[in-house]
Amino acid sequence: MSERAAQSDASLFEAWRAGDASAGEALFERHFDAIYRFFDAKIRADVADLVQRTFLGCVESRERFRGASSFRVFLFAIARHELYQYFRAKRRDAALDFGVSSIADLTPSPSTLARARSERECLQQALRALPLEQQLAVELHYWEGLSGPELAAILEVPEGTVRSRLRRALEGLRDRLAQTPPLGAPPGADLEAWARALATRV
Amino acid sequence: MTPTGRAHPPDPVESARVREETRARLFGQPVRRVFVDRFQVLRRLGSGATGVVYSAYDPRLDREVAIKVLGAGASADAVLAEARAQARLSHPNVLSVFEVGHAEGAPFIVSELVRGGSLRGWLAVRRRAVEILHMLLAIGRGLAAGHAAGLVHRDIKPENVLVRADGRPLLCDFGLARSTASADGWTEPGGAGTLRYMAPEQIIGAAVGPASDQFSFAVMAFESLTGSLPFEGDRDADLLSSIRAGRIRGVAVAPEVRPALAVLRRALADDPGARYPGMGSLLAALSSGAARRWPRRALAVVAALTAGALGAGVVLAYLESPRARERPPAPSSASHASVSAAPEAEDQEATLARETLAFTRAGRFDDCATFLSTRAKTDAMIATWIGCARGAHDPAHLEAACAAWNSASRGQTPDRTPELCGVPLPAARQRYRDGDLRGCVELILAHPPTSMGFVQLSRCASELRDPVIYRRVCQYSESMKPLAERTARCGRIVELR
Ligand SMILES: Nc1ncnc2c1ncn2[C@@H]1O[C@H](COP(=O)(O)OP(=O)(O)OP(=O)(O)O)[C@@H](O)[C@H]1O
Ligand SMILES: [Mg+2]
Repeated sequence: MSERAAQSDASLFEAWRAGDASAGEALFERHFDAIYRFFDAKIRADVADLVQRTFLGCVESRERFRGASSFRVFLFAIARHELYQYFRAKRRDAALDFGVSSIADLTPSPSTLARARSERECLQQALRALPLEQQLAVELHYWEGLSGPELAAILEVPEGTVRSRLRRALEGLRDRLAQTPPLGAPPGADLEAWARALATRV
Repeated sequence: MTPTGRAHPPDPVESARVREETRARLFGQPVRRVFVDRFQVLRRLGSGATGVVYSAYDPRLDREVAIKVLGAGASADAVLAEARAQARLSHPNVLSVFEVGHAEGAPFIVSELVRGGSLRGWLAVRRRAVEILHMLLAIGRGLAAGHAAGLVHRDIKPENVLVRADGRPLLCDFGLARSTASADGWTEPGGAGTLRYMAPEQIIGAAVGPASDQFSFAVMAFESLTGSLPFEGDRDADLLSSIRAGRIRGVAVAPEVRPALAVLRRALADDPGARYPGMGSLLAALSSGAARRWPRRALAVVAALTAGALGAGVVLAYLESPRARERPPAPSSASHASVSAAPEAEDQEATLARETLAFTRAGRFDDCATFLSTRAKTDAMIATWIGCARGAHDPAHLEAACAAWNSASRGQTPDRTPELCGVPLPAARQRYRDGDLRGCVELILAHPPTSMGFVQLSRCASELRDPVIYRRVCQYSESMKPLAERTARCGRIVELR
């Protein structure tokens, strides 16, 4: 395992593709947490299924890896595809627009009727009320620490779009959290700094 | 745009469990164990607003238990105090709490593992009004016992009543809703609980007491008896105005249900002081109407089965239901004879159902299918046989059971069979026997999904150990089954040898 630790994602990935399951496992260990977090923030059941699909998906679409800047970016791109596909299949709506629909629209659960009971839940509810594209941008940037160009690759949009999407997302969050003093942005605050502080409370 | 640090996974137990499950599926290895304290986590049972519930194995007492791991933000002391209070309470209709503790900062509560489901699930099966009323009375007695011990429940709803396989209801999660305010004390007015069942004083965040539980109980009772909630409105303001105005939804119900609804009206009063003085008097009023008015009808043992679909889940639900073990009352007059099966047949049926139950409880679907293959004569038992064969993933048994089903129904219900049996199976199985597993897979995938096809397909997938085919199998079952079941099935594929 220790020699595995020194190996790059890309070489582990090639080894996995060539049939070396233990290389696949090493990759899985490295990236499981992030992929789990990605789905766990958005769906209740079926998380294991989607995590599984994401890792299988990367084996199946090696060609696309060539274009990605890192394995992590490639993996998140697949995760996003799987998530979109999951909702499209579930809602039987191939044209579902994730620039409009939020997780709150897509999975209206009894918990939306229950009230948020902690800061964390409140923040999560606010995130889930953003259009899914915006939620993804915020989480991947502020939570997972991915850069603008990386986000552009994952979300498959130009970098300029990523920036404007992030800005709109932060404005949406600020408006939704205005009623909750410990989380809401102070008047005139720098949204960027505020969002970074929020990330520590998730 | 400077990237920021990482967040931690929200629930360490759940993420560890998902990690091990996914690892096993991806790499075809046995699942590694995940522990909370000394308890070995077996399966996620579900999650609610307060935490995640797992079934777990307690090695010390060698038994299975339920373990509820509360969110890390929960204020541990308050939660544990409530749970200890519930642990001291011993009542046949209150879930037994065995133990409480902490694991890596998260408080957890260990209790009896209830095999059955929630009241919500119990109500999804068609029930007679009298059965529902008896169920409600038992739940009410549990709640009354809690009140007598000085506890307030705060979150009465069908999800918080678990119904054991023997039909006994158990009230759970006493006080949990209150005590899970986050550690920083941040709460919104109204606090926790499920809005639709909340008393008006709870919605506005005023003092909550036993009378609030009584209100929630009445909402649940009304819903159980009529199928709809007494007050309209999804948001608190709408709901409040319906309650304030006493606007109880008009519903068309059988005459025997009306007196109970009249009794509930007072418990649904906006003013806590105007409700019954306690659960005891509400229950007394409810039961006085019940015993006299409702005629007991003879029930055919097999009704639940033959009416329903044939999925294993349905069959097992039937086997777990109290009716399967109870002897049905003998028909009181000739006119009933046509409704229920002949008495001796019922007896045999009940014996068979009991033995079948023992097998399925032990998870021995293979043995169960073998056992039934020589004994199943009625539609009900053949359906059970099919269920077991599906549970065992055994195509040979499935084929035989389906054949028996076809000949037993002798073409009376031709439309019920294709879903189960209409697979190009002989050809597919021939390929399988010839060792052409991929050919077998292709053939099945080229046809509309069926359960038999699924069984054969999963067998091929487990032998081929090819991730791409696993994935196809999941997609196949997905198009065939509801999501929840799908996940369970995909998990099982890997276990097949
Ligand atoms: N002791 C138990 N035995 C078996 N299943 C249980 C047990 N306790 C809970 N469950 C199941 O676990 C799931 C989650 O329970 P949980 O109490 O967390 O959720 P809930 O009741 O829907 O919401 P809340 O958090 O408001 O209580 C439910 O499906 C419930 O049926
Ligand atoms: Mg509960």
